[in-house]
Amino acid sequence: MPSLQKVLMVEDDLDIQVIGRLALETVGGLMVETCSSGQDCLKVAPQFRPDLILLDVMMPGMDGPSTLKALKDDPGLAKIPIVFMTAKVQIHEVETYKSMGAVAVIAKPFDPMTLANQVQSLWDQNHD
Amino acid sequence: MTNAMLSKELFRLQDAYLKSLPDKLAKIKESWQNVLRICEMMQSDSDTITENLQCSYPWNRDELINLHRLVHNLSGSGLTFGFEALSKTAQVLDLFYKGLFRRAILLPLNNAIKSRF
Repeated sequence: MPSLQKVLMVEDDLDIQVIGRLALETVGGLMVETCSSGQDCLKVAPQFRPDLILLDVMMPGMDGPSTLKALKDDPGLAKIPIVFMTAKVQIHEVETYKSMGAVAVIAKPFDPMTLANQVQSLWDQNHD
Repeated sequence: MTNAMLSKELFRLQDAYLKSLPDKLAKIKESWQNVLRICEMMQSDSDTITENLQCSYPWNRDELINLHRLVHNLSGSGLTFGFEALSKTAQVLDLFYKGLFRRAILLPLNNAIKSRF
């Protein structure tokens, strides 16, 4: 099984970006890149080549679902697992996001001390 | 980074978040006032916020999206920084604005459909 090393976090809320990076880098030992919009994600992902993308659902401009579609439409990026992160997620919304191609949904607010383990578990499940 | 250093860093981030809250709340208040102002400008005879939103849509669209995003972010970040009551309150507003936004879209559509029959 390939190991999870690089995570791209796409999140317009800078507070969440900062604490998410701290959680994933410091607690999880992962290499993390962050960006604030779907448009930036499409520029950063081909260069950073993340193993997994954490994608916020609600962002100004290009939102999470539109970004996911653009990533899936790009043959060079289509295979990168995408995990949505969203506040107050409802069960039917989780199914909708998965039907779009997301491998999982992480609910916000998240615990900075357990986020890295949560992401690692999702990675492991996706590579069984 | 040791656990003590991590705790210290988390505390520093929490403190910075706390200091930024008045500004975040002011932006939400300002956005809501903008939504209401646009509703009033439409000079609707309607009595309810939903009907006013319907009349002002799509002029109100960007401001509604902005308002919902501000509250949604607060809902998502509050508890992460240790402020449970803030997150819970923001969640209530998040759902409220989400509902308003959906009705503002659906009501004009519904009226358009009715007008064809």
